[in-house]
Amino acid sequence: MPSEELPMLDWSDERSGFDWPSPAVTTFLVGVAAVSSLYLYDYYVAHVYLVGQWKVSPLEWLFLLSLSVFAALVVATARRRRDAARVWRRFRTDTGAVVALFVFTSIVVIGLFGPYVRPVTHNLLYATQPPLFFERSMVAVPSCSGRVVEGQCHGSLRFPLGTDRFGRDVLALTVAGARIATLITFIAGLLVVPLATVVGLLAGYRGGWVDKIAVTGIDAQQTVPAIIVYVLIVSLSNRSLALFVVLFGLFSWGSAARLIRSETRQRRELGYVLAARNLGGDTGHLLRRHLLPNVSNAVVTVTAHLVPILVLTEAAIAFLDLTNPDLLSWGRTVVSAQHWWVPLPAVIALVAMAVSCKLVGDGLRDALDPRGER
Amino acid sequence: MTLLSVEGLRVEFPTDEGPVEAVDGVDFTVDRGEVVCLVGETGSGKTAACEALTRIADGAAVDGSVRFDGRELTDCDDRTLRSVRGDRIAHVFQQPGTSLDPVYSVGDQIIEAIRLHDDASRNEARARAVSLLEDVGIAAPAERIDAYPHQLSGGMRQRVAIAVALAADPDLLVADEPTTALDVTLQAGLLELLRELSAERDLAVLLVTHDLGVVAELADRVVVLYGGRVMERGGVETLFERPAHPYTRLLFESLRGTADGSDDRPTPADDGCPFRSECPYAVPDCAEGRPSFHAADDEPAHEVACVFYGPDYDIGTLGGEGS
Amino acid sequence: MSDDDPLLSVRDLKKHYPVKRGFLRRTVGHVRAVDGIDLKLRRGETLALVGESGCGKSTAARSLLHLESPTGGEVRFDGASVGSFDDGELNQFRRRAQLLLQNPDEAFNPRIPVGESVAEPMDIHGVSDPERREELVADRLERVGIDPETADRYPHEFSGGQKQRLALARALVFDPDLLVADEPTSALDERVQTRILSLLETLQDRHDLAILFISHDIRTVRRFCDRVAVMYLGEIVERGPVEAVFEDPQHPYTQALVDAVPTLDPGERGEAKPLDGDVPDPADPPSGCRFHTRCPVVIPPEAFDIDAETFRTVLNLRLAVAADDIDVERLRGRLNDASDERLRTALRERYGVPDSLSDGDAERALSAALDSLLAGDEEAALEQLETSFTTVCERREPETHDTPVGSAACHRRDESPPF
Repeated sequence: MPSEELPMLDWSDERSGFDWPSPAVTTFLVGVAAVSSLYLYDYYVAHVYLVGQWKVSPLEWLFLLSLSVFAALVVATARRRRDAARVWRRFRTDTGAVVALFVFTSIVVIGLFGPYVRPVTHNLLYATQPPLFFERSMVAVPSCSGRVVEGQCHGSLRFPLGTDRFGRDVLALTVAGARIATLITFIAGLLVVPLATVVGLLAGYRGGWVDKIAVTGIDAQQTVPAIIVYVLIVSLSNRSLALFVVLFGLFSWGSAARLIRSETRQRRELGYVLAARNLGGDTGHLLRRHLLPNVSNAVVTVTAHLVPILVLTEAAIAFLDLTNPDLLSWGRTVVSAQHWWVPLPAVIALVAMAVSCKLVGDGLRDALDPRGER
Repeated sequence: MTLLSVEGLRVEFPTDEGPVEAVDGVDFTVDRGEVVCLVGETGSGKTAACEALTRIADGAAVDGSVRFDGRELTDCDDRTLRSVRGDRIAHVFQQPGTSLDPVYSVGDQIIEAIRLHDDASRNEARARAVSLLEDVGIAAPAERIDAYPHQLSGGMRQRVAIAVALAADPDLLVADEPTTALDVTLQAGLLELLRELSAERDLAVLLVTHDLGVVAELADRVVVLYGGRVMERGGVETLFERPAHPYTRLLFESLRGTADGSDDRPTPADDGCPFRSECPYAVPDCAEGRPSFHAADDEPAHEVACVFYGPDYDIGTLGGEGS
Repeated sequence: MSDDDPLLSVRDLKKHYPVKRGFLRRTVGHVRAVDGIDLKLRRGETLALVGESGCGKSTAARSLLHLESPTGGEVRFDGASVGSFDDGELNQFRRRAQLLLQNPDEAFNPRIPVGESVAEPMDIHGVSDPERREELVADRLERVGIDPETADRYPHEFSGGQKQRLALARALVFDPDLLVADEPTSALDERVQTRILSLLETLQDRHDLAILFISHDIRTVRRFCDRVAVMYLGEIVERGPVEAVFEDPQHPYTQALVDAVPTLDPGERGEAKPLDGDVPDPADPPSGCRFHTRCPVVIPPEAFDIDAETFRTVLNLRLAVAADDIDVERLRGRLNDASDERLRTALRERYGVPDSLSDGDAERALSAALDSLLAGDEEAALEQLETSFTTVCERREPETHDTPVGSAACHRRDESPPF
């Protein structure tokens, strides 16, 4: 046993009345403020173009907003470097998840920057070019960008994945689709899921009328199929991706919130929550410190589920020809294709995105749980 | 007459870190109509050992010999095992009523259990269910038979669970900490019930518990487990009067508040005596192979696996005759 | 503050939960989990609160710590009323009054290393100097016998007993004055219990800690506590020094608790006496003395000359009729349409009532009631039983009487039995 007297705490360092928000929250608030002021600037001052030739679409505004959540996440992770390192160490042991993470990150990076490197252009002169290592009769193509051997046009490095009937480069089309998938990913993962998490946590922890309102809202939301509402609105007004994201975002978080709510309810009476309450922890402390980390399973699972669902739904709706034809999403590419090589990369990318998202989610869920430590 | 005879029972559970040995060579027998208690602390392998009898735990690797009424259970296929479970060997678990299905009335569950093992008509089965409820001490059984599990108190649920277990008139009842989750005021009644059932129906009871008070109330014979091995076994009166193994003695002293407690459990040693890492009397010989059983005193059935009772040692070294 | 002033004093503490039913969630009644209890606890003292599960012990603990706001009554801590504390004072109270819970497996957030969990009180109360935090955590861990080197491990890497010691370390961070321990050892093996209890004892001696020890385990309470309060259905029925109370219980419920403890002598088996029936529904507690529905020595009516044991059986029969627990037609069917005579015998047998009561008047009243019952007139039967076989225990709440060493609330201690 150590010295007889307990070292006493010095109450002069006791917390004063006002709590400064944590760095992560600060980052988020600064981000939101920056996006809002940009928006106001764009609306009142800059008019059409924000900077140079950039005409910011509603979807991109949402994306910018989601970036501030992303920044807050990065700051929060950086603040807990040791935990992050531990999670990464564990994540690394799951080879499948690491590969999936690489695939997923590649899609996102390509989606973010690819369109600037390889924009989509029309060149009817080079319509229906075959992809590299394939050949096609010269009779079927207006002119050939590659070698012509014995009347066969061979694929060329200029259009490695070939072109479609409008002469659009399939590689560029796939990259453009990745951009839309990325925007949806960011908005679903960083705006919709956090919304569901907050609602689920509060409803589950507080109970009472908060819970009642939340559950009623979720019930109402789940009785109305989003696609019907979408079709209705689309028939009355413009088709836009922003509309899709807002509608499906609004209508898809209910099941996520419900799951998080029930996980929270199961835990709110557990010993460590009670102990923290007796230590004087307020609701914010309890939710942040104890309930959120312990429902993170559900949050990760929900995210890994919701992101591909939204990406696939967009593809499905595009396939049904219910989206704006100018939006070059993977689904749109698939539906407008007349040659086998045009939809193939989009289909592969869709599957890769969905599968990698699921695998990353599983890996992350296991890595976050310290009980799986070896 | 021996009903159940377990020899060299080993149970391994596969885990991510490789197999974990829960039971490491356990021998015991249960006679007809006899109450045998497996006593041990958390992690002693007592539950794993009795779940291994009819292999009700999935995924556990069971090795050794389990002879029940002349038949070797470890060789049986799943179908034979299923017919033995419930029919000849019934289980009662710790949490009262987790074995009861909340959507069926208690009557339905007992009747189902009766008709699974016997082609009685529904009316016959119902009549038998009522008398079973009466046997397990439920007042007004004819009224209670239509109650649902949630309408009953914990003590009554545990009694109903016993009635379900008895439905097929088994020869052996395996009860895993049946009273631990109950209040002490209800515990005494349940122990009395088990005692009566065992005597009246010539029912053998294998009771798993960590509570020496329960053992004193119920057991005919006691098997003390530590680290998946038997430390000591014998008749209940002898064992309570003259606990022989240092571990058994420690349990009694701790119960009477005369010993220092401990909760830093060193992993039981893999070779030699598993208790030696905690034993206050450990000598180098304890690491030399598994201690064999020696007679603890004049009682022939009282055996102890401790080198101090072997020919090379003087029991006096352990100080006193128990406590 | 003088030494005699209690650190904690609880007066008439009540905690009722509304029972809501129907579409509009109207309140149709109240579960009286804690219904007016008084407690006093001095520094350095250990007070046990014992009773069966469902008697309101844990609710009492939570409401006296104001983790759930009490429905009524007052909790005074160190002379000040906890109910009137402002945020700052409540924070101060939270530092000085700590809680230790039953299940050590739940006591720690599985996703946080135990060292951080032990430091949690400092997070909440704003101690930010990392060096000081580390020093304090290490000190508290050593104090409960846990190697500070293991602070960065996760809860699942510790045994149940170790987790309970870690929980104790967390409770000790602020050098509290009061520790409320809610069944802190009942989930643990005997040897582990011993370790925790001796640790608690050491810490109590060193820090003059007052401990409210909530338990259903009489053996542990006898080993560890100074005074005891026995609780039944939200009320305290007996109190006094532990040894005196359990050696010579003055309340039949205390006696029943003591009698139910199994002996450790296989030669004396079967002497532990179970208590009949279950704890009644606290939403609708029995009138008068709440224990009268189960009390083995319930006071017989003065009008009859029958002993308590016999009266108990008749009262059980009466309560069964009142609870609509007897279905005569079904019973008749089971006995193959037996004669009324056989049914009467069967009914008496089921409730242990003798074939004939020794007192003639009593026997006549009982027979009349049984006749009405067999004739299918349950109401008349119940009325007959309720007028004839009534007891002071159900009519009036017992007053709390002083016993040689404490107090007990039982009509058997009334000076002149008020029939």
